[in-house]
Amino acid sequence: MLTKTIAITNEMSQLDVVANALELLADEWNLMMEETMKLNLVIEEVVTNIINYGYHDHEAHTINIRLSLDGNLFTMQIIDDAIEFNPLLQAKPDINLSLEDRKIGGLGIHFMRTIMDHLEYSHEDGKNILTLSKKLAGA
Amino acid sequence: MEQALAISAVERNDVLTISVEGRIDSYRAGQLDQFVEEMIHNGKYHLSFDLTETNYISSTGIRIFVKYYKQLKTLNGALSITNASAGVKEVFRMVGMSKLFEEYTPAPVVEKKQEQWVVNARDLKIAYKVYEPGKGMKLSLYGRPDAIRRPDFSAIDSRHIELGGHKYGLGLGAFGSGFNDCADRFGEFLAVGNVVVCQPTDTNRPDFMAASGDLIPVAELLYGLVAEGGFGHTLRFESTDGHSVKLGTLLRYIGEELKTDHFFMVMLAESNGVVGVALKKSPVNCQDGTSPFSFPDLRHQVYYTTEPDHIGTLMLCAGVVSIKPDDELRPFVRPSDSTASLTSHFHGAVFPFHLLRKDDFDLPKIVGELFEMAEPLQVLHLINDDRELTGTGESEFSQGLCWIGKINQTIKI
Repeated sequence: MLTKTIAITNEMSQLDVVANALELLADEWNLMMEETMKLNLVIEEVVTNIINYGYHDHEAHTINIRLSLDGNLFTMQIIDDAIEFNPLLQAKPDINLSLEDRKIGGLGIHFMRTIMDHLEYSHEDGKNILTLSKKLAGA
Repeated sequence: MEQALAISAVERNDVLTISVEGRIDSYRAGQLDQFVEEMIHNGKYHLSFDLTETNYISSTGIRIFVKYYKQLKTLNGALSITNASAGVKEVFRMVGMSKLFEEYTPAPVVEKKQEQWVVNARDLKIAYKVYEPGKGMKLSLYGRPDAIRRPDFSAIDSRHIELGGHKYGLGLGAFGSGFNDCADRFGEFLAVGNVVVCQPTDTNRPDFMAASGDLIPVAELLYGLVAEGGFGHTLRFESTDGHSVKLGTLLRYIGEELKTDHFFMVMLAESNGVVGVALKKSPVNCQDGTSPFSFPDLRHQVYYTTEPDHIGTLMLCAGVVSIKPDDELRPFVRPSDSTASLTSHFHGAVFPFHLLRKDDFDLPKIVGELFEMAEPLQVLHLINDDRELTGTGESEFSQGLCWIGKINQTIKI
């Protein structure tokens, strides 16, 4: 099993750190480009949400992103010490609505559900742990 | 990784093609948002995006496209994506938005209809439509505006009035049940059809009430004027390049064009700087006979713009204009400038910037949408401070829509 942990702080500019790390990893682990982009999309949605809504102080916090590839099963685990929040309980947006009627929010969780096969949330020792996995086609 | 998005735009046949190079993620989406907003602000309503060089887009990026897609629809514009990298296309497909790719319609080839400018002066242009010129408005005058100089207001001055529908008014008013209830709150008041806004003197933010279903907005009016009836003319104005339209100048042109000495006007316009005042203390509470406008208490009792304020906002204004007002109307109006015989009284509610459609004159609809979209920031009595050297001048606008009704009947109540 291949594993990699990326630790970032709660700043938007860190999204680049994630994107860069993921691109290098894709090379190493032989992931397809489109697949990598989708995985990046999911990580960004989770991380952006944590950074935007998770902290009420102005301190620096660490967000851990653990990635692993076991055969063709890709798993990402995002661990943060932000306020307790289960994104899986959020309402699904109705993407069949016409664009005119569409609410602007809620797309993040939609990406998560569409792209990943399995989603799991737990709250332990004051930490949010979100585990998302997906069987990759090309790996 | 590059810090900024590379955004470029080319205009052809009225369609602005915007090319974006880089990652439209949460970190950078704001740059695109700002760029597009600016383009629309500058009147570009047909946008086509080339995302061939965009290698990534997140939901924050997608939200920008949805937001402006909707906004441009209401402006009779269009937004589409002509080209995109496979990855970006796939993301749009995942969220059920492939429609943005199909909808592309090439440039609107129809020749732009030239507006008929009836006034084409050095500083402004005016185009207007005649609706029912025969239609006039009835103007009702309430209370004693001159008493503001030496306030001695009591319950007999105040009136409980029903608004909404085709009533438009301004003055000093408040929401509440009767004079005593409103005594601490009487402030600048503005009614435009189904919406009434008051600037209560006991708080900073305006209150507003909108008619819905059976609810008819009512207000307590200490003094003021209410016009009732239909507008005979609608009109659009805009400043010429490098100029700004002064309220007084606009009113003078309108009076001359429409050949009328007395009219009521509602205006929605983009501000280039507002000059106005608003009471900070209810005049009922200045009962010792001193004017709220006297020193040294002026500062505590009246808010005034020390320089043209609220630039770039949208103003919803209503007021009365009269050349040589009669004795009954005279206390309700002030000279619009020191030289002319033109007098007026205007109130304006300040809103965050909001796009105005140039061809839509459905006032109840526009006003309804305006209040749904944002809350008024302030209500001001517009003034012309033409004191030499120290004066701040008068309110100026870059463009706007006006609804005008000639006054054919005035009643003192």
